[in-house]
Amino acid sequence: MGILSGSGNKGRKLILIVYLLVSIVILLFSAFFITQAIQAYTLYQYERGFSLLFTGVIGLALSLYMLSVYMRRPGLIRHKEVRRMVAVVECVSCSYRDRRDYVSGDYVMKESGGCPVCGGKTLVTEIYPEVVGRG
Amino acid sequence: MQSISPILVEVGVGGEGDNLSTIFQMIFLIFFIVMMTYGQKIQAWIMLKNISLSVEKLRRMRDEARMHAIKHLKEYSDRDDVEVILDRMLQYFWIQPTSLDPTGIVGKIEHILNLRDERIREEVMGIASKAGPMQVSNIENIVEIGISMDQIYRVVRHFYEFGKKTKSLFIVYQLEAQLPFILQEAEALMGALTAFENCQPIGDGAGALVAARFMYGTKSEKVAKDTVYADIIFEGRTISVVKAEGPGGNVGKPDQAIARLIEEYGRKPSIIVMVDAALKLEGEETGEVAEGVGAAIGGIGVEKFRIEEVAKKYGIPLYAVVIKQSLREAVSPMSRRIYDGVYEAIERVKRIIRERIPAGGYGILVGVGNTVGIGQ
Ligand SMILES: [Zn+2]
Repeated sequence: MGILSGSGNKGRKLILIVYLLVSIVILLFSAFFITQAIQAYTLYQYERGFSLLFTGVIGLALSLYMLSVYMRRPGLIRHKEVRRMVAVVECVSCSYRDRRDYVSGDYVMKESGGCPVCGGKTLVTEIYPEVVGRG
Repeated sequence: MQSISPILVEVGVGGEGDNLSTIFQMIFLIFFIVMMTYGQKIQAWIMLKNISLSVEKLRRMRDEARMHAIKHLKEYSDRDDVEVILDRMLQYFWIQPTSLDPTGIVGKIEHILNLRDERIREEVMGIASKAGPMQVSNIENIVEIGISMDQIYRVVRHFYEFGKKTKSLFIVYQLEAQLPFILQEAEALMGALTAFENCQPIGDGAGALVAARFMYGTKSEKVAKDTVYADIIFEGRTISVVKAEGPGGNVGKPDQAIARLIEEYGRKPSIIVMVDAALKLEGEETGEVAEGVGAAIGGIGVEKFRIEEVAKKYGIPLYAVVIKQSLREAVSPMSRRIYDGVYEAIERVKRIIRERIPAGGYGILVGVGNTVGIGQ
């Protein structure tokens, strides 16, 4: 992860592209070596086949590792939860209960106007963040 | 692969000699030798690079917290040296009294912490002269967050620079292992910042909310610094409910309130019930309620000591009800689940009162925690 976390935006982008290209090239070569190794084995060229297979497998492991580092690089945009504050208003005397947007100045146990059902007192009983989606 | 193999054959690979395979094998061999000899250095370098990102992030958070504090101080101030005073305040420290001779250390700690709190409050009131008591306590909390963020940043930077200087993998390992927790704590503190700015309840206020729900409908009186109490009648029992004064960001002095009720007002409680937010273990549900005995109050231990002293002196049983949450949740805006925990805790408290206080008896209920965004 660390190799890919240089500062400076322009230089970093270039490093990232070069790094990605190098890993893909190694991956392609490894695949090529492995196919060559299979070909060699079918022709009973065991020594040549082993040497090609050895190179191919190590190259494959290296390139996959490099790609995994690339995927986990810091600075990838992670989606954060979008939250909004809501307030619950309850009537003291009846079972009226309403959820509305939080308004600046609200606090829990604050009296909040008359009850639309019975006209009694209402209280803000809960203020909490609600997840409304991902941005 | 079919498409590139002719090209490769043309440049002399894939043929008899397999030159390319040999070259690659050499490259891999060199790669392994390099990794074996310089692996540790490379690893330390990579880790330091990672840590530098986190240090940078912490610095940005620290600056943001500072900007918030400046904004709020300036809002209620007509002075132009706000930033200078704030920067002085951000590095305000307190020295723990020596424990070489532990007798009476609690009093000393209390004395010094009170002094620190007073000093910060005075500074805040000195700058934000137009702020009311509620704004003052909220700004105080914002400044406290600024102080914490500054501390965290300085300490992490210290170990980062030290690791860079010594190139010691052990120091770097230790720092990297702790960074996720440090970052989480820092992020939670930043969440608390918005809660204090907007005066919204935080998870730590769960205990205070339980007390507030009991208190509703009665007039509360001041009983200690930033602390109020109200006498309520619950099923024939008289209960003095104590909480910090809301909805500003106060934690109050519950220990002084209990001591005053008993020693000055001459009350004789059969029990003291304390409700507080408690740290949950990983795997436990947020908002889970548990009960037990003892003084349910966090912090450095001064209040706990005082409450235990009073309880012991008068032989009053201490009952505790806690609402579980993570450290992060404790300083973030109170979540829905914690409200459910609060309602459950209220039922538990009612049961304890019914069981432990005879009809016509008297008891004390203390809601511990920061009461920001919670009135009474
Ligand atoms: Zn109603």
